[in-house]
Amino acid sequence: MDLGAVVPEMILAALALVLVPVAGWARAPRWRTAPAVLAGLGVIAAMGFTAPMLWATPTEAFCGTYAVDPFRAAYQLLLELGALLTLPMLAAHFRGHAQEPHAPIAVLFALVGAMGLAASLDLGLIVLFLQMVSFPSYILVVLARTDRRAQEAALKYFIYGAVALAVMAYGLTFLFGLTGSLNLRAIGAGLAGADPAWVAVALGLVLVGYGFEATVVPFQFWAPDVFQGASAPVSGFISVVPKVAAFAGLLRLLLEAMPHGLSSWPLLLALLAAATMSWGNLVALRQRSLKRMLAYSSIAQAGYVLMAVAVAERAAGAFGAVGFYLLAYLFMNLGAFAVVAQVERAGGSDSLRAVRGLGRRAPWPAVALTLALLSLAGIPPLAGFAGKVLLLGAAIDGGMAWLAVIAAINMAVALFYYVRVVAEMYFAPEERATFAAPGAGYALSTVVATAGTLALGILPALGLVPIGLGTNLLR
Amino acid sequence: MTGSGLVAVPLLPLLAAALALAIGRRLPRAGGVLLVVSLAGSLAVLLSLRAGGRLSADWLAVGRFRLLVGLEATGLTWFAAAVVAATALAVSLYAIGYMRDEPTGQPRFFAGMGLFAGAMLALVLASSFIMLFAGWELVGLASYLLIGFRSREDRAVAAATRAFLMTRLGDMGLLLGWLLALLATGTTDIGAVLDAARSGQWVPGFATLLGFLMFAGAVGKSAQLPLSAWLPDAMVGPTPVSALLHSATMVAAGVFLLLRLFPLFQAAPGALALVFWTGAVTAVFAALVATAEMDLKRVLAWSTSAQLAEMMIAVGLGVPYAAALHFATHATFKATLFTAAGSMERQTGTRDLGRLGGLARAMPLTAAVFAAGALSLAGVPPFAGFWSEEAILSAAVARGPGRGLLMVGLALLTGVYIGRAGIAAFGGRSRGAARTGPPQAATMRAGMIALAVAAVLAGWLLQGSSLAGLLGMREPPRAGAGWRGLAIAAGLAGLSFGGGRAWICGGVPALGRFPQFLATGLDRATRAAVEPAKRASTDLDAIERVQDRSARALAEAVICVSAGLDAIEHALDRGARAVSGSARVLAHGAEWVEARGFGQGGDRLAAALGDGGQRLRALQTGKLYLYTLGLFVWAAGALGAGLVLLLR
Repeated sequence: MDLGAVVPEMILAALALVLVPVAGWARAPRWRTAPAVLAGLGVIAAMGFTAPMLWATPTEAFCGTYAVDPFRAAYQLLLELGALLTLPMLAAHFRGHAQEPHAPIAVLFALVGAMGLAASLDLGLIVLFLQMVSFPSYILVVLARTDRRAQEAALKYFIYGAVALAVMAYGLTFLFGLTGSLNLRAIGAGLAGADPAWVAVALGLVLVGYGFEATVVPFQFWAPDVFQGASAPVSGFISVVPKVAAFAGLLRLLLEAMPHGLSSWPLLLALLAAATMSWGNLVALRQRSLKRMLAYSSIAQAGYVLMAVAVAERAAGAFGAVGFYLLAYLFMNLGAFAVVAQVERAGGSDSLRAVRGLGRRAPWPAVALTLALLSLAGIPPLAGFAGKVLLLGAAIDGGMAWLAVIAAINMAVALFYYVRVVAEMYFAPEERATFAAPGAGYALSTVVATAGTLALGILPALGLVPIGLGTNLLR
Repeated sequence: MTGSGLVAVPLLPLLAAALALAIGRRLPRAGGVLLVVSLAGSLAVLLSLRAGGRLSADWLAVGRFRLLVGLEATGLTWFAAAVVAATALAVSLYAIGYMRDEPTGQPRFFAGMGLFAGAMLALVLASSFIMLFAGWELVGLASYLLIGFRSREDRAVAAATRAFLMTRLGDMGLLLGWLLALLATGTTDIGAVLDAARSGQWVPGFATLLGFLMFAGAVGKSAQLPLSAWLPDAMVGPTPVSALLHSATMVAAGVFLLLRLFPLFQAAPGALALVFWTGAVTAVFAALVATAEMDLKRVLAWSTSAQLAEMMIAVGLGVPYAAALHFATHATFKATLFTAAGSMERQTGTRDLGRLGGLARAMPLTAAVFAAGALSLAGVPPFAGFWSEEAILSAAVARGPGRGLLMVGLALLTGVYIGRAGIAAFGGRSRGAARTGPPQAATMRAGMIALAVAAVLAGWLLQGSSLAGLLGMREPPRAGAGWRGLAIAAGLAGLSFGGGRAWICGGVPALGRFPQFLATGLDRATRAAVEPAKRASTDLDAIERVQDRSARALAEAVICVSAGLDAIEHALDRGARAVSGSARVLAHGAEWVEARGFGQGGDRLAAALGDGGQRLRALQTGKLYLYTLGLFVWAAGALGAGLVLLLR
């Protein structure tokens, strides 16, 4: 038996199942936090079992359907970290509501799905786990039940996701039909002699699903509405965990099933990357809602990452660059969303005006948001700068200097909308005198995210060493 | 041990900044003192170290690439750091007095200045591109925060954003440049990259490409064409900021970059030519605009752009020594001019050349300080500017009389605009503005006087072979006495023309109004360049909205369908109920027959069964969690059974 290969997933799945009845019983206000605390402890335990796999020799488990390799361990650790950072602010957001005990369950289910996606070697499992990431995410969006916007957002998310994943599943059937196998590596060997036209069709269809999860243009339409409609902690979660999982899955699919740039996917991805970052940045320039602005910003960030995915086979550093950037992105984006969640909670609005004078009203959250935004903009010495250096270096090294130039122009333009928020916080006169004391959960998420953003910027080796181990992929 | 003290140089002002913020609520006025003390400490450390120290550590090592961070005191970096620290020290002293009456925000202001000073010192002392770029971006950030300091004015925020964005555009060129150098050499160590450039191991075009990219950064930072429009707007910041960041040090970082990377540019004649021509065009353009500006600080801003362009010319001519000397002397005399302008603005409440006039008698010290700066700027011997401008002239003459004439023409224009500005403010009749403010603080006077003394003496003290030896650069052969005399005469002629015209006509533009059109033209062109991005943003937004509407239509259609399905289900339900109703009627009949037909014995059994059913129903309380618990128990049982089978 290969049960040892799935210990972290089993811990989390079992915990999620146990928490379903527990959440029903935990009605009394003082017990409502229990599921979140248990979920947090479970995620930490799972991380403890995931970490040793960083040094594992790549093998496969369960008849070649599930990978045990450092790549998987690195990305699963990223996903667990993302969930761990989301849990406190989610608990703080739902504090005192009936949904409080249920939210962590959805997070755990989505996390298991995301972790499975990072390790799947089998088309069937890929479809299953992609659905498993998506469904709890829909539920998280609609958890704020009274809000009509949230319902509309959840419906859009659901319909768009259902169609995208169906299209992707259709694409996977082509891969099966061409090679007669569901195994990624068998497909990789079989596709070498297949008709390139059909391979291209399959690639085109399969990209839809990953593009949907990772908000790659032109599959990003759902993101702004959903981010705006959902509550800020949920938006933070959706902007990180499904995206990291999608990039992990995409890397595995491309490198194992379509090796040697089959049907020129590097060029296709490079074009998509250029379109994604330009679209996200240009539309973000006009946004007045913080969550919507961060949605477009996260689309643009996905474009930067995709740039290194496109050269993953050609540049030695590209693989590490993707992982490192996702780690940095996780910290800075969740840091930004944690502060926006506080602002939203305190003022009931996430418009740009809500942060006016925040620098004086609430100096510490304002500093955290400033650091997160400057990091997203790539100002040294923050994590986003180190990540962007690696991404741009990988793109140039991989022979796509034109893409690096487009990315650099985008990074210069993007500064405008990030700095506009900073200007509102420090330069604009305050409109509200008070700022409600934030919950401890927000503070915890914010502090950890900010510390990560700073630490990775000053000492990138902290993140690059584990990520570097994780470049060892089963092939 | 060599160089470990070097860390203290940028770190002290940064610590002062953090401390100023931390104790800002209790001691709002301590920030200035902290900054001055820390800068004095930095300067002392620097002077005690001399050149030669070096400190370096790995920041990142990826494959064959080593990204380093480190500081290094070569002759050039040590000299530049000393200039920066000394200027910052004098301006900070001045700032204590200048900000004395500012009600709030003193901690924020001095923290910004400390951040700037620390980042700038890190920039000039950097031994690796990472450190240099980090300093480069952080001085931009500090500049943004300080320009926007008077945030109640909308103009201040707009100017701050504009400055940040326009310089950042150039920064991306610098970023790509050093990334490319990293890929070619495998390290970010500046010395190693320069060695590679010197050795000529690269394909011919590569050094030129690197030079172009790095120069883009310098163009943005030093406000050269076409990225100059932000500098005059930045003058809405407090005057100490204009004096330190936007004239003496930060904007000069572009020139410093070219000096630091000079061996690379030497290997790239194409890039050097571009540097020269950009400098020449900017110098003429900016000097012309400066003759027509009505705002004293904007005159000085355009003058800064022109003077930096002269340094570019010197680099472009292949004589970095002249640029380095001018870098130092310009820092002294331009900071002097700005501090005098700030002092005047503080006491009269305006800096409009149309309203100022005849103020020399009311504020003699300020006027004398301004005169020292102005004469130095105009290249009148023996003031500081004379020595460095003569060095640039010599470099130009050595390359041909055309370039020499360009420098003489620039000397003339410089004299015209600074003579006009000085006389319009301090000479002639009074035109409304009068001294109303409080007397100047002692710290302000001390800062001004220190800078003015430097503006008089610095050139004479610095120039010569000892500086050239320290920098490791050659002095250009001195131009003939004829050329030197011509340049001095041009400066004096310009001064007397500009000054005389201003004495008679007041603050009207010295050369007519056409230079103003140049400035508005540039402004409009800058705006027009941003326009496509704005329009694209609008268009994409519209596309998103259409897409959104269709998504909503789809969602509504889905809801409609589900409502329809609901209705169908209701109908089916009603039908089913009707069927069940008739069944019940039938059942009643049957029951009647049964109750009569069968005995009571069966009833007992039925009651017992009913009881059991009741108990079962209590379990089915409609609570999802109990259902799932059942599932879970089932799953646990199955797994347990599996485990037993497995272990057996």
